[in-house]
Amino acid sequence: MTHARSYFLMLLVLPAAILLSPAAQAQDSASTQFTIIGTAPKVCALPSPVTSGTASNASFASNTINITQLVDPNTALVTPASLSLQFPNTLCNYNATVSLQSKSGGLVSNNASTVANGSGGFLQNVPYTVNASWGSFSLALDTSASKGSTVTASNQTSGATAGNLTLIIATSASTLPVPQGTYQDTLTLKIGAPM
Amino acid sequence: MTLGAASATNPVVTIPSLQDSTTAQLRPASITLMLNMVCNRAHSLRVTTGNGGLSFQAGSGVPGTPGFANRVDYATMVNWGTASAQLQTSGVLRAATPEVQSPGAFSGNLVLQVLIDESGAGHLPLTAGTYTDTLTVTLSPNF
Repeated sequence: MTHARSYFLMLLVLPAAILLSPAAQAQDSASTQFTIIGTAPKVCALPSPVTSGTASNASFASNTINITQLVDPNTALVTPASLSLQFPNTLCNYNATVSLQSKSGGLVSNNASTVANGSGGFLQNVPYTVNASWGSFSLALDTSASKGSTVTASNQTSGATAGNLTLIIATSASTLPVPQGTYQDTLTLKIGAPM
Repeated sequence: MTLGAASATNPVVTIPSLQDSTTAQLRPASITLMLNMVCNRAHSLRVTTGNGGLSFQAGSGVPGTPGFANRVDYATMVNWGTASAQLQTSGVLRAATPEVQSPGAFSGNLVLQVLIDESGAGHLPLTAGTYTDTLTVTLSPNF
């Protein structure tokens, strides 16, 4: 009788063990997963420039390039000048666009002497060139064909770029004399979005 | 770091400011997470990284550009009971912490710390883009 009772209990317990078994297996291992996300936005940094190399007939201070002697005092022809500026540790962490823009399309004057009727030719817009180099990237701006209007050169870099960006600004000798006056232009360098 | 946009199955840890906005250099970040967990037998625990660090996924930058980083390494520390383990990512996919052993059943908070320090991108500026990784915490029974 006792034996039969024990056997009966075993029959009750065994199904319970079978029922619990699948649940125990399902929780035998456990894992959870985290996703970590961070975004690096577009960044460009253009520090203040310093002169680099040897300047010829030009100087730089307070973000202004002064051409020491724009014209030959004997002939009034343009005297060549050049200046190199370096923007140290310039950086864009993506394939940014580099733009150079001459606002007046050359050096122009608002106080130049008028040219008399019947006179031979004078140069009233002094052209100049700008060459930018930044790593393997280069860009050139020449104002000589601008005819006095704003001129822009731009190009996109092939990828993120970091290093010194160098600008070489130069005027060349002219074949025409320049009327007396003060000549100026605003040159803009931009990195990042297109100008 | 913040825990956001989470679901029960896949919490998302967001780094709100991964880099300096003027230098593109990595900014330190950290977060500590606690998970209430239970295992009713002797077991081991490990934490696995999917990408071996926060790896560049997509963006306007071109990955692989010399002088720029396209992976952010970090350290993760896990504490479970009296045991702990640490993982420093280094670009090795599916790298894992050493197994943290629990000789018996244990119930409590798993403490998981993720730490990014300023050297995590080799002191290089980061290529513009999105960086992600997955961390998996696994409890396995000891046989």
